[in-house]
Order: sequence, then structure tokens, then C-alpha cells
Amino acid sequence: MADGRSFREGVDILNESDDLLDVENHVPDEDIAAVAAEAVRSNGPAVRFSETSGVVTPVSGAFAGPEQATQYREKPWTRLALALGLGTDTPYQRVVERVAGPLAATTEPEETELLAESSDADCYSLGLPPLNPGEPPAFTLGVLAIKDGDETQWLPVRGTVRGTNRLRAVIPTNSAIQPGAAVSLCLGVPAAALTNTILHWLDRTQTGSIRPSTRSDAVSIAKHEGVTVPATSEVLVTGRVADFEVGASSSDIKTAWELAMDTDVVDISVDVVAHRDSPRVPFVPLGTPLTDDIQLVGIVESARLNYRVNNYWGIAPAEWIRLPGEMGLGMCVVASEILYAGFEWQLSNTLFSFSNLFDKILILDEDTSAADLSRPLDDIWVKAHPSQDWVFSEPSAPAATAPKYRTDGTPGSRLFINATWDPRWDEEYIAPRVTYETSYPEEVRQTVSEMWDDLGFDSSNSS
Amino acid sequence: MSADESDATDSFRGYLERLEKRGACNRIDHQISWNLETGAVTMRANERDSAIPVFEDVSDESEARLVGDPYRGSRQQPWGRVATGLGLSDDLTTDGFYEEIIDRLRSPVAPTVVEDDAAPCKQVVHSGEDVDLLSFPWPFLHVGDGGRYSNLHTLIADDRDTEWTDWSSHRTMFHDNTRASVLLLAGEQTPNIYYYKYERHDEPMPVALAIGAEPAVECVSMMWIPTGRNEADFAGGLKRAPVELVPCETNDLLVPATAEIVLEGRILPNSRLDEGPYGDYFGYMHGPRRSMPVLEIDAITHRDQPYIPFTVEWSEVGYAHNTTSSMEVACVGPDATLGLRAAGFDVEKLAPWPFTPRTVYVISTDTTRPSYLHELANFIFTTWGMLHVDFFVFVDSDVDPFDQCTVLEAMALYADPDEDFHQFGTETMPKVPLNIYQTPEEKGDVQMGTSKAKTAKTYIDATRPEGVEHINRSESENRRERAREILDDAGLSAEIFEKPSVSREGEN
Repeated sequence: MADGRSFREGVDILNESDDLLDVENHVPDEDIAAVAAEAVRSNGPAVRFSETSGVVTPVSGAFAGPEQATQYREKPWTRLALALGLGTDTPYQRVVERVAGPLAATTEPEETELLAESSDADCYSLGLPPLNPGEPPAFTLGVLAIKDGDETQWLPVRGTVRGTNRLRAVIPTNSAIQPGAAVSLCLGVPAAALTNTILHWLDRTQTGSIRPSTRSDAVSIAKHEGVTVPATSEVLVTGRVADFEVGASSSDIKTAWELAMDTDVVDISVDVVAHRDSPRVPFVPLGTPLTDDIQLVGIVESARLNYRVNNYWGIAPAEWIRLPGEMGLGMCVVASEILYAGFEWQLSNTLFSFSNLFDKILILDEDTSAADLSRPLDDIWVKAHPSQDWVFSEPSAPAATAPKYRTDGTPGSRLFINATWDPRWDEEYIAPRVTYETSYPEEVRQTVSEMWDDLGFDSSNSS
Repeated sequence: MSADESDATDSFRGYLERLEKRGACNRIDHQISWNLETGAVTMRANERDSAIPVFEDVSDESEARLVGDPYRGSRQQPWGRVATGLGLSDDLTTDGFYEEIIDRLRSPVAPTVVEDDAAPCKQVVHSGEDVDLLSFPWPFLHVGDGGRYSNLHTLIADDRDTEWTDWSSHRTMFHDNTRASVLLLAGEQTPNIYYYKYERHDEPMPVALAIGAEPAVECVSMMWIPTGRNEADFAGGLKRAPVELVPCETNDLLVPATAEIVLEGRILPNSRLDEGPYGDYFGYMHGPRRSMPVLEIDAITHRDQPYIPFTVEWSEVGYAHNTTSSMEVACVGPDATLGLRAAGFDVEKLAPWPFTPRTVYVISTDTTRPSYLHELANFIFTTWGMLHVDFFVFVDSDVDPFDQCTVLEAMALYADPDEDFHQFGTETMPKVPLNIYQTPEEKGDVQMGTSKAKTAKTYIDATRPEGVEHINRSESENRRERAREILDDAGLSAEIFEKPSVSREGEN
């Protein structure tokens, strides 16, 4: 079994890693989103709000790392890696491979005892924070388990509390949901439950495939009120579909997964609320750049594309693929071997055909590190010839869904930027990259390293 | 800040003393060789944002000293060291710094001329047979470099036909005791004077290289001061006092009196020597080796135990800063902003791209109509020095062009490939050969420092589409302040909120 962590265990690991801020003073519900947003804006740690008005302990930033536009030491995928049971130094590609696991192979989850217990809490007394003052309490990152015959389908979900025993949820279109169906809103689920579910729905809605399962051996499951749910869920709000509006659009701020798919709105009549002791639930201050949902979808979509592209031609040319949260998922960055002249066109159009999120792709040489965003942000300008390597398609391509233009779906151009060496170039044309290692012989580097402290470069004179 | 620290320093060594008082420079007494070691230490210091290294002992044969990237600022405050040199407060925001520099540039102060005995740069004078360039410890910076360089200095040259004296910066590679090659790229001011005036008349161009001049002089050498206007006046404006100049020994040029070293000489007509390769500012060691004009040295004057400042190019690529990138922000940014405003454009701010200097600039502007952006971009592309720059990114005036996340987001989410990427594919514009996307054949033999092939000069309109609101959450400043207080009370360091620059009015 994969070493998946429960949401609670993931938060504890963040705490042990000194990447969690405990806010122990009471914070009014209406201030939580602003505090969480401010922590994200300042590249701060995850935040746990221990003293709030309700039952739950909201945790923001549990899956979202810091941005890399101003620093490189902290990696945006580290918190997700920890939540998935990996280590703090896990390379990006290892995280991506873990997330893409259900595409590569089906594994069976273990059925265990449910940890949440029924309580007297209702939808309001849970104490879910609103996104803005005066708005209803919100759940921003969860899984909705819906009964589908003998099976249970898991959907990504966000929504609001609409009454003591009523929820309004936004879910992907074309789910198995029916009026009167039993459903359970699962909050504080393991990261793998979220990545598996988002992976499934991203792949399903953009390629039509239903192959990647939302279940895997990384998430133990349990039966609850006839519905299969993640066994370690912190909160389970269970009831029946009361009202169901196909294709209804929600005018409020969306989560990142909604950018990739159409959604329905469903009202749920709640019968039972169950939760663990002091339940922790993720909370996303939606509308803030680089929040949990953006990073999660960026990594999951990258994992999906990485798997698809590297299983398309019978070879695996792509070293890595990223949808940086810093670019709001509107641009895909890929490092790849350029197999032959023109392969960059095939690669780009393959990526465009697998994902509708973006309409811009930056292609880098295969030896470029995934861990350093500054390299793409240099190469895009210095390596790609502005009149030859910025390649625009005819203006008849489908509109991408992450950008803020052509939101009515009007077709337009796509762009790929080829910042790789032309495979037709002679070797002598290729400019070697300047690095500390290539600029200085080993003995010079060794001398500098050994003498550094003696040279007086210590914290007292570091400016 | 003490009273004297609110004045600009009059000399480079005065600047070093000011850094030392603040614990911001590290005087290293161990002997560190000019041959790669000083470069390696400086690159490491740049990467770690450590104190500025001052190498007091770099050679058994010379008393001269080296200073690695003396104007390098931090990622949060790239302009900070320049501010120190000019006597500006550390507490300024980037907006405040820009406006202060712009204000000072609007009030030039003419230089004064002093006698030799009042000019420290005349403490030691070598001329004729005494000239020996290689007696100085010019640094060898990267393994693949074509030679040893002076790369942080002011090149002083008189226009052949007018009273104009141009100060600029052109790296210089030393060949022997009296000769060097100077990177002169046509399209820039001094190279144009040389190629299209002196050389066409088969005349040598008298020049002086002022090495280790006072900070204000260093700053204006990096700026785009209009043709016909003397940088010396603007250096006086920056320091709010006249720059003291002194006549050269062997020609009629005037040079900064407190400079550490002055090389007097002539750039010869129709004479070339190899220049480069060089680990350049965009992060690659590019070729081919070029032929560049020859500088013949006639005299060297210097202070006792002179300091030679240098910059380690490449180390500014990525997250670190060096002198080049810091001065791009501190000097080119405000100067270009002023120039565009003076030309009638409604520009809020011009910011250099932080990951690669001199290739792309981000400009925030209130006016975003297509014809205006077209006019603005192409106006800039016609100015001197623009043969380096291929891209402009335009953002709305409520986007801070120094806020990389917001700029990246704007490029990805607002710039429509259908209509917001302009002049890509229009291969009709000139380019310097300092690039890696052209082949050696496309660069040609670069006799005047321009590539044989042309390129595209482009711009991206990353302003918001009509009707689209700011992407981000709208939060009142009061609410944000309360949120910061809560985080602060919980133990989050207040420093984390001190973002590098500017208020983000669009979110308020």
C-alpha cells in the first residue's frame, strides 16, 4: 500500500517541518479568509486556526507551497509531497509520478473503520468560514461522494451552507448524480483522495477517458450511510440531493478545477453530520493567487499531461511538465528532448489537444531543471528567436479556459515558444550555459568553499 | 541616517567606507587571486546576498585592490546600494526611490574643474614608456572568457563635431601592456560617434576610462541620457552637487577627479582585435569571437593603492543580483521612466525583467489603447541601446511591474495570442550579436557590433481585456492590516510582509 497520509497527518507533518503557523487566538469567522489570503500573498506558511466559533479547525495552505517568482529555496510542491506521504526534499517529478499513479495502474484501496463519528452539529455549527464578510459559510476543497447504484462516485466539490440542514454544492457536469441520491460531503480528506478525484475529472472531461480511478491504495475507505467515503475524512455531511440544476453556472469565485470543466449546482438536504475530534478542514481563500486549489490543479494537470504525452509516441520525450501557479494555469512549461526538426510543433499541439486550460506553451531543453522557475523566465527571452520561435497558430483554435479573454469561447490563436536548441544546428552554434560550476575549476571552488567562513562571510556581515 | 550620509559620496572609496560602516562590505585580507578566485568569491557572495567583497590583496606584483559587484543590491531592494551611494534613505519604497531619482535628474548640476593637485586620480601618473596595463590585477572572471576585463567603468569620449561629451560603459578586454579591445556596438551613442564620425574620417577617437569613479558618475554611465546632453551634468543632479573633473594628461578630455584609475588613450580607426567570448549577461557563453576596435593606452593615472571594481556577469541571471542588474533597476528604470514621460507618454513605471537584464522590460501605463502601445513600444525601440532589447511587456498602471507573480499572471491570463502579441515574426529590426538565438552566419563578422541578420522587436499587451476586473481578491487595506496583525500575533515575522516594492492599489 502506498504511504498516503490522512489530512490530519499531513498537517501534523507540516507542523513538524516548521511550515505551519498556529493561530491560537480567537479569529472571527469573517476574518479567516483575509488572514489566509494574506499568508498566501506573503509567501507564508500554512495556517491553522485553532480558535474559531465552530467545530472545525480550518487549515489554509495545506497543499500550496510558496511562489517561485521571488525565491527558489522553497518548492511549491513540497507541502503536497508531504501530504502524499513523501519527504520534504522530494523532486518535482517524483511528486508528479505519484499523482499520476491511477493513470498508470489501478490499485485497490483498503477498507477500514470510519474515524468520524455522528454528532449533534449542524451545517452552521460546524463553523465553516465565509469567503467574505456577510457571505454564507463555505467549503472550498472537498470530495462529494454520491451513490450510483451499488457504486459510489467521487467528485471534486465546493459550495456554501444554505441552511441548518442544507448545502449548495458545485460539482462537475455529467456526474452520476440524480435527485434523491444519497450523498456525503467529505471534508479534510487525504491529499491522495483530492488528487485522485481531480485527476479523474480532469482526464474525463478533457479526453473522455474514465480510466484513472478515484480510488487507490493511498486512500483507505469506509462505508458511511451507504456511501463509500475516505475513512479518515475529518467531516462528513451526509444527506440527499434535494434540487439539481444541470449546467447551472455559479457567479461567485471559482476553484481552479472549475476552469477545466462545466459544472452543475446541487442542493443537498442534510441528515447527518459526523466528524472526528477537533476536525481539521482545508480552507482556500478563493480569488487569491497561488492558493491550494491552483497549485493542486496545476500539479495534477501536469501529472496527467506528463503521463499522456510520454505514453503517446511509444517513447517518453518530456522530462517534465509544469503548469506554474504563478501563471494562473494559463501557460504550460515543458522540458523535452526535441526528437527532430518540427517535433516542437507536434509536442505543443499534443499538449493543447489534451488540455483546454492553457493556450500558451513554453518548450525548454531537456536538461532544464524543473525546480528552478527562473531558468524558464530567462530562456523564454534569450533563447527563443522573437521572429522565428514564437509560433502562433491560425486563429481558429478553441479558446482556452484559464485566461480571462475570449471567455465566450470565441476561437483564436494558440502560441508556443520554442526555447530549445534547434536540432539542425551544428554543435559549435550551441552556447554553453554559464554556471558557477562551468566558470570555475574544481580546485577554485574547493578553495572558496573551504575558505568561505575565514573570508569573513558570516551572518554578521551578510547584508 | 547621519547628516553626512544624507549626501552622496564623492568617491568610490568613500562609498566603500559608507558600506563598511553599515556592515555591508567585507574587507578580505587573505590573498585571493585575480585569476578566477575573486570572480568565484564574488559570484558566491552574489548568490548568497552576502556582504560586498573587497579584496585587499590580489597579487604579489600589485598594490591595487579589487571590489566584486560593489553596487549589487538585494532581491527585495535591488536599488539599495545605489541609494546608499547617493545618500538616499533605505526606507524608501521602490516608487519613492524612482521618484527621487527622477526628481534629481530633472535638476542637472554642471561640473567644476579642479587642478591636478586637488585630484586624487593624479596621485600616480604613468605615461609613455611607463604605461603597463598588465601591472594591474584586472580580473579573469570566467574560465571561458577571452581575456581579462575591466567591465565597470566610465568611457569618456568627446563628440567629434560638437561640444557634447558622452559618458558610457563598454567592457574592455586587455591584450598587452598598451592595448585593449573595446566592445562598441553600433546603435549606442559612443559607438556611433566612433564608427560614423571618427573612423569615417580615419581619425583616432580620444577616450578615457574612469575606473572606480564616484557612484553618481557610475550611475549616469548606465543611463540613457539624451544625445547632446552631458552625463556630467546629470551626475551632478544625482549627487546634488557638482562632480569635480580634472583634465587628462594626454588629451583634452575631462575625467572625474576622484576616480581610482584613469586610462587615457585613443580608439584607433580601422584597427581591430579579438573581444570575447565572455560569460554574458543573459547566462550563456556565446560566440563567435568578435573583432572590436583597438584602444591604445597613452597614460595611466591612479590613486594610491587603487580599487578596481568589477562585476561578475551571469550571476544576475536567475534569482541573484549583481551590479549590472541592480543598476538596471536603480538607474535605467527611473531614467527610462523619466524619458518616456518627457516624450509625452503616460507611463507609470518601467521595470527591468528580474531574471535576465537588458532583454525585456515591463512597463505599467494608464493608457492602454492599441495605437498608443504601438507608438510607445516603437518609440523606445528606436532609441540608442535598444539593439539589446527585444521585448516589452505592458501592464495596467495598478499592476506593479516589479511584482513578478502579478506580471506573469497578466501575461498568461490577459495577453491573447490572437491580438496582444505584436511584431513577432516581423524580422526587420537590428540586433546586437550578444545573443544566442542567431547562428554565427546570422551574426556575420560583426565589424561594427551589429548582426548581419535582422530580428523582431516585439511587445506584449498584458493589460486587462476590456470589462475584466482585477484578477485578485478585493480586500480593504483595513482588513488586510487586521489580517497581518493576527498573523504577527501568531508569530509570523513582520518582515515577511515587507514585499520588495510598491503598494498594490488595485487590490485595495
